[in-house]
Amino acid sequence: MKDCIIAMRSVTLANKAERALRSEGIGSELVSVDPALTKRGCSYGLTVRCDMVDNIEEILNRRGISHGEIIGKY
Amino acid sequence: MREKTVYFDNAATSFPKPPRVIKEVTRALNICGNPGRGSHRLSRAASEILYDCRERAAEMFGSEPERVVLTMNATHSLNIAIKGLTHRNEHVLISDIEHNSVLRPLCKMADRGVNFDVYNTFGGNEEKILDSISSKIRGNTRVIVANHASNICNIILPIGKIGKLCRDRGIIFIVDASQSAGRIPIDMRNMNIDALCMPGHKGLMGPQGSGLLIFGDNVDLTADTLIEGGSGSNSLDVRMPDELPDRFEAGTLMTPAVAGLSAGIEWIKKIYPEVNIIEANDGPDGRKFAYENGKEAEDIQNKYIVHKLNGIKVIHVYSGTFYGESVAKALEAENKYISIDLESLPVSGTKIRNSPYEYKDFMEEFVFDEYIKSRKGDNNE
Repeated sequence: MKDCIIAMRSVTLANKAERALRSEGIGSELVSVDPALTKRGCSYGLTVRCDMVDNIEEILNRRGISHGEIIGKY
Repeated sequence: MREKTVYFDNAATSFPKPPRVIKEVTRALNICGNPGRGSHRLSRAASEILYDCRERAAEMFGSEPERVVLTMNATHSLNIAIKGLTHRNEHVLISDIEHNSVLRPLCKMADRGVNFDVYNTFGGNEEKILDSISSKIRGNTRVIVANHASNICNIILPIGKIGKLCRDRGIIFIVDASQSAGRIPIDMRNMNIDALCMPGHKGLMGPQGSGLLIFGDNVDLTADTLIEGGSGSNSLDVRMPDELPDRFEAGTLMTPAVAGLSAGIEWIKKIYPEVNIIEANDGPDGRKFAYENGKEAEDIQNKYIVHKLNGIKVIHVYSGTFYGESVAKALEAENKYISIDLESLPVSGTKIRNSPYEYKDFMEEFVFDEYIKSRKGDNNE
């Protein structure tokens, strides 16, 4: 299953998102994002299953957790 | 034989720390990498520790984890808040019981065109405090600062009511909770607090080198920064990030200290899941009884305590003095000594005051000399 990365605006928000997703039964892994892949340079992200991205975005939006680019979706 | 220590300086720093706090500091030193510069196992372990602390602090004080900024101490927190949220030609109000960690940054800001005035606290009279604040608010008043609890002046300010006044007037409210955090319940949302500043090493039982600055939901997140540097993210931007908490956390954070602080917060929450504070500032004058250690004095004080409780059932009385037994009996509660050292060090302040010559060995020589001099002056001994 293909993995995508959801770039987060800080490691703190990455932690918050990871725990929020875990509480909803969705696994993810906190990773450093290659600076070449984002517009912001060094950043953190969550590795998730690409087929779960839409659901994950809905969860993060509902919980008020902002995020950056989604890498690898298409 | 190891010398025993009876410690009274908790207003300066709490001691001893709960064993769990010490254990977590040590554990962090053994397992943590840098919390914001990588995602390997040791780095993730460190970032988890920081987030745990933010989450616990946010829950305790009523905010969100990302609004919890980790600082070195309350002074650091207050400097960030005061210098970040005030600007040239703006006006600030502070109470007459503020610490230098509020006064000095403001004096520095005065050099940069910020004006400030002092409102009176009138020994804690709420109505007079609010009137004093209201009378000094100007059109350009941007920030009001309040020292929640002064250990020097024995005053607890009504920060909930001050917060409402600030919110009604669109004024930012900064609270110095150095002596109250972990000891008196604080709810930032209910109390309309915009920036809550505290040390980690006092009431929260954490180690020195830890502190918190918690921002409320309404504060301007693009406040000026105190320190700029690496934030672990957004590295292509030469400015500090706009997002909390990164905006105010430059450089590597003090993960072992934060680990201890996090454990301290958990310890406090377990010990005091719900704390009801009853202020008793209008009781019998203790000085009158200092030299009259009789049953009559105890009865008067116990009646006052029963009146103050107003029917609330007490289960345990915790006291480090001999009064505990008398109070517990009056309240039909169980007496629990909090200091077993009294069993091997059977002396109290009252005993020393009543019989200074007998207990001379428990005083420093210069203290004894001064005390005898003052008694001779009072009583013509």
